[in-house]
This record gives sequence, C-alpha cells and structure tokens, in this order.
Amino acid sequence: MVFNSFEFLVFFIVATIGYYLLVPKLRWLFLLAASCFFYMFFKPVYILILGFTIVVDYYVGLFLEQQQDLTKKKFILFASIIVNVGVLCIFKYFNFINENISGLLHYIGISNPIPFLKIILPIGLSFHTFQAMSYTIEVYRGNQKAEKHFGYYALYVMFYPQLVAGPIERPQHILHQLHENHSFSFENMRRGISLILFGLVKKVVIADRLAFYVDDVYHHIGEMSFIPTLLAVFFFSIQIYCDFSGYSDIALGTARCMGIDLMQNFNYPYRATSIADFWRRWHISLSTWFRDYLYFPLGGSRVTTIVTIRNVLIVFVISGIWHGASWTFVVWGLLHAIFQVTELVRNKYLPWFRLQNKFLAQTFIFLLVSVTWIFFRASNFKQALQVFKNLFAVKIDLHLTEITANKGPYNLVLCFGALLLLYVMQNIPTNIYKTNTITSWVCACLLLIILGKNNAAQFIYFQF
Amino acid sequence: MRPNSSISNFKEFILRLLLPSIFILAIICLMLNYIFERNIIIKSENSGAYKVNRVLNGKNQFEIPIFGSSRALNSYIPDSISKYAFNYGLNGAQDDIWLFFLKKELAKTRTSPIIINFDFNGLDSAKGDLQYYLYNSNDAEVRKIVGDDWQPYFNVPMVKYFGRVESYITDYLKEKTELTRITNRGASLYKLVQSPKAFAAILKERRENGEVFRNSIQLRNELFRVLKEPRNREIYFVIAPYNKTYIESQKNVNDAKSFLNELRTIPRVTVFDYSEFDLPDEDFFNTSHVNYKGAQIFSAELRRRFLATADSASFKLN
Repeated sequence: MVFNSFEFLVFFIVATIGYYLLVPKLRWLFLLAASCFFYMFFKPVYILILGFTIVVDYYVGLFLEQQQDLTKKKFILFASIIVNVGVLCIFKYFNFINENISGLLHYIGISNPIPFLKIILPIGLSFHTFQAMSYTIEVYRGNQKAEKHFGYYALYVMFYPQLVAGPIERPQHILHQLHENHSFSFENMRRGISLILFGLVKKVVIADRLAFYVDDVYHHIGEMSFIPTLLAVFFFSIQIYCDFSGYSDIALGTARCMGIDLMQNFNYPYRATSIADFWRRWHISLSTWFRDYLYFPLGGSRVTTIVTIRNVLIVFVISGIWHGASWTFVVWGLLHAIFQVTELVRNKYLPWFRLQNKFLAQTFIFLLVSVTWIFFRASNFKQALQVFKNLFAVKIDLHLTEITANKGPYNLVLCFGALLLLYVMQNIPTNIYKTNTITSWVCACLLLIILGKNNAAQFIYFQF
Repeated sequence: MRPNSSISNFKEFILRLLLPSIFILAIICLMLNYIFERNIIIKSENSGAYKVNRVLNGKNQFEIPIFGSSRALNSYIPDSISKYAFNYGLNGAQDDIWLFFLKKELAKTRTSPIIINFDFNGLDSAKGDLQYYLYNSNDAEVRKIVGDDWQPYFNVPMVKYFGRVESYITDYLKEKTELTRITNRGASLYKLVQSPKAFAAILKERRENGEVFRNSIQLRNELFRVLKEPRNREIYFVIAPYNKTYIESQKNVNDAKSFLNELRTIPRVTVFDYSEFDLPDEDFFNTSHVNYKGAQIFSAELRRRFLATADSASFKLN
C-alpha cells in the first residue's frame, strides 16, 4: 500500500479512528495489526522475514540486558548484527555479489556454479533492518532498557508510518511514545493532516510531474541532446528530494495524528553550503545512524587526518551500497566521500579557500550533489556515462519533441510550475499555514486534484 | 489529558477544521466540475471524452464516423475526406473499443458509410486512458468498459478527474493553440517532426522488434457477428500507411492479409489496404504513424478512392 493511493486514504482514516476509539491498553495490538496489514498489502509472505528478525532481536535485547559479561554481550550483539545483515545480504546483495563473482570467473574462463536467487527484495528491508539494529546496539550500550513486551517491540520495528522508508527511528525516541496514552489533540490532528497534505503535494504534484520528464530522458538517453539531459539532471535533484521528503512528511503526519512524534528527516537540504552540511540536512535519520553506529565507533574525526579520511570513505561507500546493490550506488557514495574529504582537507589546510557568498555556496553544493545523483538515477554505468557525454557535448538542438522529452510543451511548463510551487511552499512562513489551516488544506487538495499525477507511483526509496 | 478535554478537542477539530474544509472544498469542486466539463471537455473535439460522449449522444444524420486507434487519430483528416466525416480515433484504445463504437453507431438510424482503420497487430483489447470514460461514467456500458479500474471516487464531482485534468487541458490546448498538433474534427495530427537521430533510433527499434499479427478469437467472432447482421450501411476497413520498416519487420504479414481477404467476403464490407502506400520517411512520425504531411497525402488519396467507389454525395468537401 503506497501513501499516494486511495487504499491508503481509507486505511489511514480507519486506523486513526480505530486508534482513538480503543482503550489505551489495546492500542498497541490494534496498531500492530494495522501495521501487519499495511506491510502484507505489498507481498504477504515477506512478513515472515520481518517476523524472524523481530523475534531474534527481541530476545537479543533481553539477553543483552541480563548479561553482565562484556565478552558474551559483545558476542551476542555481533551475532545479532550478523543475522540482520545476513538477511539483508541474502535478499538484497546475494545476486549482486554472485553477478560480480560470475564476471570475475568468466574473466578467467570459469563458469560460476552458484545459481542466482529468484527473489524480490522485501519492501523497506534496509530501513527496518537498520531500525532493529539500532535497538540492539542501544541496549548493548546501556542507553535503552530492553523492551519486555514483545508486542511493543514488534510495533517499534513495524509501526506502519515509518515501516517501509523510515525515518529510521531510535528506540529512545519512539518506544516510550508507543507506551504512552495519547489523547485526541486538536493541534496534533491539525499539524498531522497538514503534513500529510503537503507531503502528498510534494510527491504527487511535484515529484511525479518531474519523474514523467526525467524517466523519458533517461530511458532514451542515447537520443537526447544537451538541453533535455541538463533539464533531466536538474529535475531529478528536485524529484528525489520531493519524493523522499514528501514520503517523510506523510509518515510524520500520519504518526502525528496519533500523537506520536517521529524524527525530522529533512531540513532544506539544498540550502546546504557544504557537503557536510548537506548530510546534516538530507535523510537525517540515516546519516545520524551511520554517524552514531559506524563513524564514531571507527574513531570519527578524533583521530589522525588519514584515519578520518578512511572513516569517511568507509561510511559513504557503505551508505552507497545500503541504497542499492549496484556499482552505480557505490560510485554515488564514493563521490560524496571524495567531496567530503576534499572539504575536510580544505578546512584543515586552506580554511580561507571557500565561497564567501552564501547563495553561490548553496548553488555550488546543489550542482555537486546533482552530479552525484546521475549515478543514483542511472540504471547502469553506460547510462550514467551517456548522461555525461550529452552534458559535455554542449550541442544546442532545438527540436521541440526532444526538449519536451516527447511529453509536450504543456508538461514542461508544468514541470517549471512544480519548481515554482516548491519554492513558494518552502518560503511561506509556518505561522501562515497555522493561522490559515482551512485555506492551506483546501489549496493543497485542489492542487492534488488539478495538478496531481494519478499513477500511484512508488516512492523511490521504497526500493531500498 | 482528561477524556473531556479529548472529546472537546475532537469536537473542535471536526467543527472548526474538518467540516468547514470539506464544505468549502465541495463547493469549489462542484463549481470547477461545472466549468471544466462545459468549457474544456465538451469543447475539445479531439479529446477522447468528447468522442465517447459523441458516440453515445451524437445526432448528426449524415455523419461519416472514422473509428480506430491512434493510427486513425493521426492519419485521417476529416476535412480532406468529407464535410460529414468525424475522426473518433482514440490514442491507446484498441479494437474492442471501436467495436463498441461500431455497435453504438449501427444502432443509430443513419445511412452514411462507416470507416474503420484496421491495424496490422490484429484484433486486441485495450481501453486506452481512463480519461475517455469519466465524463460518461454514469452510462452502464461505459462503466462496463472501465471494469476493474473503477474507483469509488469516480462518483465525486471534479475529484473523479484527479490525475487526468492535464490530459483534458492538453487536448483543449492542442485544439486552441495548434502548437504541437494540427486538429481537425476529432483528428489530432503530428505537426512536429522527429529529429533525424530520434527517427533513426525508432527505425532501429522497430527492426529489432517486429510486430506480430494476432487476433483475439473472442473479438474476431464478435466482429464477424456484428458485420454479418443485416444493415443498410457500408463499412470500409482501411489500413492507413505504415513505414516500410514496419511492414518489413512484421513477423506474419500474410496472416494479416488473409484476414483482410476474409473481411472482403462479407456483404457491404470493403477493404482499402494502404499499408504499403508509398510515403517517404519524412512523412512519418514513427513507423506506425504518419505526420501531418503524410496524413494530408493519405487523406486526399483516400477521398479519391471513395469518390471512385462509393456514394459521392457522402464525400462532398463543402
């Protein structure tokens, strides 16, 4: 069930009303059942995988809390990480690794005897695996008490608003909220529905509109010239932001309607003035996950410059591979690592060497990030390299069919209109929305009806 | 928070926010629906919704309907064929839809000829974009065509057009601005030409993926049943031009030709095969669709043929 579907609208209304009608002590059960239903709407059988990791991590949590012996604790934590990452590897990376082994063996004239798995990646696997791992790590560190109630722990992993694409929550932030009795609150509902509507506008009106153009250009990249390629690269940067932040807004809004506060996942990322700043604003729940559970344990930046550089490289390459089992994602992560390392070295040795003008710095970072998105969007290296080829062969070809990517001039006008809409949405002060809630709701609904794309397209991050 | 406070919060939310929002939205949607249907949908002759409505409710006694898929839409210029012709071609819709149109047409008390564009991929089912059917979604037969794609919100004014408003506006703008298309009584013709690079890629793709003629048995039987029923109207099956790459790559072109010969045996059915009509690449938008120039040449030739074989009174230009 995707958030931008009629089914979800009905589900959301029923789930929210049901939540408030029930006595508080039964709400966890209702929410868990609703979350199971939500997840099983995609492919029912995969709930078994989720169930398996939930059971494992629940008992690991209990054991870690009881155990005093540090060596045993370490061993159990390590085993639980192996189980979680193992599941991820089987479903997400097995065929990728096998494909690379085949390539290597083929190079030396041997055929690969290992068969490929015919499996579809369970939706949101990377997200809920990371969320489950954050629980065991926090219990191990003593920052979180192990959850005794299996239902609440299962709900922590499965809470439907953030189950398939985050935000990747921390147990300290969410578990106690699931236990609390949330009464119906006018302000929570107002804020929640506003977030849902704005998220939907970002997804259905802006991201899907731009995707309509971008998809065609990438699909026919060999036939495209400079202008459509440039527009597609630019549009994709906005598309992925609106797609993912739109999803996060809907997730936050849905949870907020039930009085539950999820962590903020985006903070105007394209206003970043450096790559490090970008990662403080983009997919915050993932970047802080990597920071807390990988970068800091590796030593973070409190080590020599060389080791810090190594740490940054490790984190970003793993972040790349987390997104998808493809070398294009590795390159995407590597590029971010290189940019971040460059910044790090510059800050240390040439601190004066920076763009002083904030707007120029933001534009520069936006361009850098847009270049990296090429690898993120391309289905393979050939496609990515063709994008660069088209961009470097600055040949202005004014064929209207090509500039409009065969979608007509009206669509292109709407694409630019979508960008303007995003600009307006993000620059209206929050208090205006608050004092004009009815107007903003009606406007959002009208935008959805009149300018929305009705293809119930999946969110980009669902594939991860 | 105490339960009382929760209930008052709920009441406040419903009365102060939710109901006023729904009320205002409903009023705006009703108004928009009225304006949109009367000024956009029903004012765009090349829109599929207009065509479905016209098939259901059209009253012109002399009309010569031209049915078919996007190939009909892009190949026949009514003005060049007859002053009574109207192009009912629907982008993405296949033979089951023109068969539905044909049945509706034959139920009318007209005597004018009917033109059906036939495609070499055989008889197939595809309803095309749902936007064609939403305006008439209260009609039982139209609703049957929509089938499993029916959504409860299709009953709600304006909301039923969610996600498709732009396609109606695009059709409207095509007709009003003629920026990318030339429109003419239902026809929508490619004004633009492909870049040579893009056209070369299209030819290459076609060579690699030749079409196969494949008839749905059910549709074939239904078509023959309809055609064999007694009627007082001539039916012309016309095969609009294909690019020679299309014909060369077609896997079983002889099966298509045999089917046409079968159609020729039915009384009051005539077949005009222009599939290999000699047109250069410049007159095509892609391998199965001519552009405006190609459509002009083909429509003029078709009219000449009609004048030579059919009732010339029906094929007056003015």
